Formats: sequence, structure tokens, C-alpha cells
Amino acid sequence: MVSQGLTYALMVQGSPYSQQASHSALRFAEALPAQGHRVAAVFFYHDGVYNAASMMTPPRDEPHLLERWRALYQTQQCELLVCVASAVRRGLLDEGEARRHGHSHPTLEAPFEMTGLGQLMQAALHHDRLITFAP
Amino acid sequence: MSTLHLINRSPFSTNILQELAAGVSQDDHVLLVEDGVYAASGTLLHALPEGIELWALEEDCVSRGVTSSDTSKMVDMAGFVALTATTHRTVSWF
Amino acid sequence: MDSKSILVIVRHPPHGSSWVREGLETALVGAALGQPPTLLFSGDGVLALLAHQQRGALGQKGSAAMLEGLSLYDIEPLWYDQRSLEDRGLAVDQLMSGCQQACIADMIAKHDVVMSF
Repeated sequence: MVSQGLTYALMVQGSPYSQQASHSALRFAEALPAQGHRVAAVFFYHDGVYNAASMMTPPRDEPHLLERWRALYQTQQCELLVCVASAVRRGLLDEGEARRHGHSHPTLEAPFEMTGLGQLMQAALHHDRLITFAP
Repeated sequence: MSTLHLINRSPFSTNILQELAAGVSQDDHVLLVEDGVYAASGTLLHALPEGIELWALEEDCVSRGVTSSDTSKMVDMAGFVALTATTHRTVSWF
Repeated sequence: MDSKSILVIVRHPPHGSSWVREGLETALVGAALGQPPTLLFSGDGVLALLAHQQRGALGQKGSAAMLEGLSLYDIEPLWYDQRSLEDRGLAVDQLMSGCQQACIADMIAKHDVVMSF
């Protein structure tokens, strides 16, 4: 192998359970450590922000994508970055945004973080690879 | 400094492969994933210029009952990772 | 910040989805960080460059207005793929000002990072 120990940024633009994008991104990210790489940041954009819905409740016999993202955060210490502009439009608000807009409950929780597109750009510039998982 | 191109849409519902043909350079790699693997059989891949390595993601082929073809080679998830590491950049066409 | 060249490719038409707006916003943020990306319109993306567009349902601000302002942020020219234009029966004189013909393969090959919308 030519390259060893790369850091990856992933951009996830697909909605969970509607499209395969989230599943593909997770499968890819989970396969990185075996080759000495790791995912450093995942940026959720477009309908991809629904991956962060804190009340996600899939049937028991289906993969729990929110739990898979949390596990990825635990094992690879990656940032889970959610585009605030895409998220707030779609009803995904962290505690600060919920309070600011007069809602009683947040719908997005740590380890997911509300961020702007600047973070996507920083991730693209700083990490070795950017891979986009689209709907 | 080659490029990995990811195709995740069926080439029969979009003209993505025609557009891809204008975007590839010599020694680039094309990886069919998700519904893109439906391009593995049939003749649409012949639209791409010579000198391009064609791959199909095995797990997406297996789940869809798509068998290997003469034009593209099967690669597993580890192979997908390796392709992103050995190429300089990845472009997703969707 | 690390210096890498970024190419933003827009491949979807305006109005019917938010892809164009999201691609343009990404490009603008890159410019604000001092790294103005190259912006390329290919496939249905060239339709975003048509002159005389109005505001629409999804693009509350209208992507045409955003496109016209990009040169203020050093994002110019607006690169387009000639074949995509021809396939759609269009000619360059039907596009807004500031558009220039590109070769997609060369564009991709000379940038470090490619973002697609």
C-alpha cells in the first residue's frame, strides 16, 4: 500500500433509511482502521442531517444508524458535524437552537455538533481525503 | 495523481456514464456502488474511454444479485478504502 | 490553514432541489476563508446559469442572484461544460454573463479536493 495512516473527512448528504448513503458511509468508515486509516470528521449536509435525529427509533430488526454513528465517534474519535442551516430548516435543533427558537426539547444531541459550512471546508482542507456519500 | 470516481445511481435512469466519460482521465478508477452496480452488466460501460480501471463493490452486487462481468472487477469494502488511499481525490457522481 | 485547491461541481438543476444553493453556499464559505474554490457547472447544473431566471419555491433568495454576486468573492469565471449545454439545446449567449467553457477532466485532475452537488 502506497499510503498509510490517512485521515478522512466524509460528507453525508443522504437521508437515513430512505437512501443507502448513510449505510455506505458507515460501512466505509468502519473499514478504515483495518488499513491504518481513520475517519476524523463526518459532515452531514442536505438530507444527511436527519442522521442526527436524536429520537430516531427504527424497528428492532433494522440497524440503528444513530447508534452506529455514536459507536463510530467512540471508536475513532471523529467529529460528527451537522450543518446548522440544513438542520434548523428541517427541525433538527440542539439545546441552544431549541431555546433560541422557543422549542422545549432539542432534537439533536451530543456527540453530534451544530456547525457551519466553514467546518466542512476546514475538514476538506485539513484531512487527507474527502469522500462524499450522496443520495 | 489519479482520481477515483464513485457512481451510485443506476445508469439506466440518468445519463451519468455519458457525463462521466467527459470527466475521466487516463489511469483513473471508476467504482460502481449502490445502484451504480447495475452498470456492471450490459454495455453502457463501453462508453468510457480506454485506460480506465473499472470496479464494482462486491457487497452491493451480492445484495442485488448482480454477478461479475468481463468489464469490471469486484472489490470488497477494504478494496474500496484502498482505492481512495491510492488515488489523489475522489469524485462522487449522483 | 493547509493550502489545497477545491473544485465545486454543480450537476443538478436549480429550483427543483436545494443542490445549487448548497453548492454555491459551500463555494462562498471557501472564499470567506480565503480559499475561493473553482466552480464548475456540468450536466443539469448548466441550467443554473440560464439568464432571466426568477425567484422560485425552494431558492428563497434565488440562486441566480447568488451566482451574479460570486465575482465579488473572487469566484470567477463560472465554468461550464460545453457538451452539457449542447445536449440541452442551449448556447452560451443564453447564459448569464461571466461564464466560460471548461474541460471537466482537466478541471478534476488539477484540483486536490472535489465536492459535488
